[in-house]
Amino acid sequence: MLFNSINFAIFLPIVFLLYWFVTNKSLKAQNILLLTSSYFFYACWDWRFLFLLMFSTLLDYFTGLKMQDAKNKNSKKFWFWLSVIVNLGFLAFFKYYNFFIESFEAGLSQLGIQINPFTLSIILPVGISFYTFHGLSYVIDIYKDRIKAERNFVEYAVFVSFFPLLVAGPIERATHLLPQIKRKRTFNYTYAVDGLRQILWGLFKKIVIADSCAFFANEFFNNSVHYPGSTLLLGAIFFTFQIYGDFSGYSDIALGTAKLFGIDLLRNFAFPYFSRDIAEFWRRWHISLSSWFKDYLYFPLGGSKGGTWMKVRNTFIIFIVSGFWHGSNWTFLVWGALNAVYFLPLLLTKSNRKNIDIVAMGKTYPSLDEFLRILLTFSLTVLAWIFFRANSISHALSYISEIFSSSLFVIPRFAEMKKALVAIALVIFFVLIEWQGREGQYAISHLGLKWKRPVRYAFYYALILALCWFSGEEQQFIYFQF
Amino acid sequence: MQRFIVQLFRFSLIGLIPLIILAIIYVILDPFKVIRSYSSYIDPKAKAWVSVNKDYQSTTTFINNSKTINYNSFIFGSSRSIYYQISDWKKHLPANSSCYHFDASGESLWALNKKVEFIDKKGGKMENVLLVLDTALLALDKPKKGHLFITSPALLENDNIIEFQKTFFFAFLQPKFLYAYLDFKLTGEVKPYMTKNSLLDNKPRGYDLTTNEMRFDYFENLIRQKKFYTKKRMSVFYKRPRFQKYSLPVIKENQKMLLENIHSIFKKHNSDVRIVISPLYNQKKLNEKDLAYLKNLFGTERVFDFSGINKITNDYNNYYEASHYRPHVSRELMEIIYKGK
Repeated sequence: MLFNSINFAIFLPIVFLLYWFVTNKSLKAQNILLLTSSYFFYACWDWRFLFLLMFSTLLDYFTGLKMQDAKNKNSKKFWFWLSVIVNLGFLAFFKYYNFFIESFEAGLSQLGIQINPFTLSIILPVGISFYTFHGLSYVIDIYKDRIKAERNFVEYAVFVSFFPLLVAGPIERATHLLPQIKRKRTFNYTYAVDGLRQILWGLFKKIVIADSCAFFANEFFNNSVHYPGSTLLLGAIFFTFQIYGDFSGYSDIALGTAKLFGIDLLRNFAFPYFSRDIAEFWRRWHISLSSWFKDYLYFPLGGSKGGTWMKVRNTFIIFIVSGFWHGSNWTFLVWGALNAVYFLPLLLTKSNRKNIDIVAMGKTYPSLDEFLRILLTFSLTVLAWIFFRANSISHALSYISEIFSSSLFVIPRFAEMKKALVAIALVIFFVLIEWQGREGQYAISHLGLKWKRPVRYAFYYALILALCWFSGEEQQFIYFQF
Repeated sequence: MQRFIVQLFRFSLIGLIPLIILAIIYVILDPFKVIRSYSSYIDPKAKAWVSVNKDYQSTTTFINNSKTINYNSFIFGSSRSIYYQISDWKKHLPANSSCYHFDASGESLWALNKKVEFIDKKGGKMENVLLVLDTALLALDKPKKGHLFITSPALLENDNIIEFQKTFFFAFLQPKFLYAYLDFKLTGEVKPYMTKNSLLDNKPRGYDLTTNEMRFDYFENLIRQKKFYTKKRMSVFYKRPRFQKYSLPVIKENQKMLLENIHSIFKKHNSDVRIVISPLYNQKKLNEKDLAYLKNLFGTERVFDFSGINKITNDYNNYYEASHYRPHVSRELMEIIYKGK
């Protein structure tokens, strides 16, 4: 069930009304409702994989309890590694099996050895990367004695499978979400209205911005040999906004939906394209994943405490693993490595935490220096996204080489020029709205709150009208495949 | 909570009023002819019309007609099959043949399979079958989206009826269409902007309800008068590579399953099947693997590949534009495929 579908538009109000009117007297009933509706939500995609989700949930629940009750360190270690190996084993099988087999075959064929590998037609269970990481953070936190194991199964299962975050995050932490699930929720008018506003903005980002950009990004990337460098650059910029609108739009809808149920999820995006350097970008892009890797991979590896070599090594590990998390293709690894290369100079000069505030806070415009830094960071990001979007590394390299050729100065000409101009105008409007709202949790969190109701309503209706106008050519959420 | 519900209700109500009005207009006018039942979904005498979903139109007309007509011969394909005229086809068929043109816009292999299954389940006979295929059709192994292409609910035992109706209502709400349609309904005039953007159509056409055949004699008359191939129309005939290019293989596991199912139904009906691989202007030849698969499944003598560089595809005069070839070409192809029968 997609967030931008009619099915979800029917599903959400039903669950909302049952939650606040039928089960509101009992926390237990509310949690059972959230669990059953989350499983229903997941089963709408493919009911068979619901069993995998349930198995993963049961595994982490029991290994968590076993670790908690373990009488010695070895026993605790056993249950910890059992959970980690099984969780990562499932992830590796469903997501990376064919990739490893095919890469192995390609490697051998380079050496002149031909094998007939056994590949499988594997369907990637939606959300597996997300709920696996949920579960892993839980067992790691128990193993490290940061939290106590949850004894109430329903509450733990809601933590893993709460439907707004189930298929594409944010990747939650037990320390943040579990206490909210255990606590009695009371309806808060302001919070719920804020949730609806965030859902509206998320839908706008997805349907209007991301899908409009996707039309051209797909065309230019899929047929890159037919287009000059100038058009390909435009395609890369379109993809840059597509992936941001798509994923941050999804996160906004997830956060807004959770707010309707009185639950606060981790913020996932904080206006990343206004970052002044790449370190700031990674503090603002897919925050829940970046912080996951930081806490569960970077710090255990020693973080930046060791010598220069250790810093370089750890930076590359975290970025490459992050790239690999996104998919089983060498392009994602290169994307990760490229970001590590971007990040390294900042780390080595100890300037990676230089920009931790909000750019041009309290001001209308950025300074020239800030503007140029934003532009440079944005350009580096666009370049990296080409690897992320390309079908193969050779495709990415030929795409980039065409951009850096004389054809960069050719005036772009392609079918649907008018539609492209509309998409560009929308992106400009979007960037302006995001800029003015960059001090809030999301772009329109404060926009128009002081306006008179008719004006505010007119703005929301205009957004809804735009959704109707642009609906009908919806694309799948990109992060569903990860 | 009460305040939230009241505010939400108020906000929705204000926003819904125009939507409710539009919904009423939509139901009354039924622009895509998907709400009510019609004796004919195509009116050749209309001043202008909204393009209907050809899949729905062909299927519904077939259901209506088959109450009184026992069809036994079918042409399947996309809009590229429109110009295979029944009168020409009948010359090659037994005298008792009763023909129906069961086509759809942008037809997919998936939907074609559904049509064949549908006729079979309804107890219809398929003694003669002409399949007009090309790479694009063969590649499509899933249902298509969009109001012009969505599959008729009747073919899917009404499984997609909500999706189907929603698609049309949303298409009606598209502001550009809505404005043009209401403008036409209110003024009765067909203005250039309406036809230019294909919001409405007013190209003269003929239609035979019994065979579901559409004719575009108007274009043929223009060609005869040497008024058709204008500079503007010629601009769509792009330059093609001089050397033979091949399409990538499109018949994969899903396509094989669909084709095997279609073949088994034809076998059950003892159908005389002829398969035409269309001579498309792009001159890309059907991939040899795909052709071999089709010949192996249906029989070498039943599959006729006219794709690629050849006498027909070299001459732009055989085409209306870069996608559709003319009736005289179809006539010529039928002569070839039924030769020596």
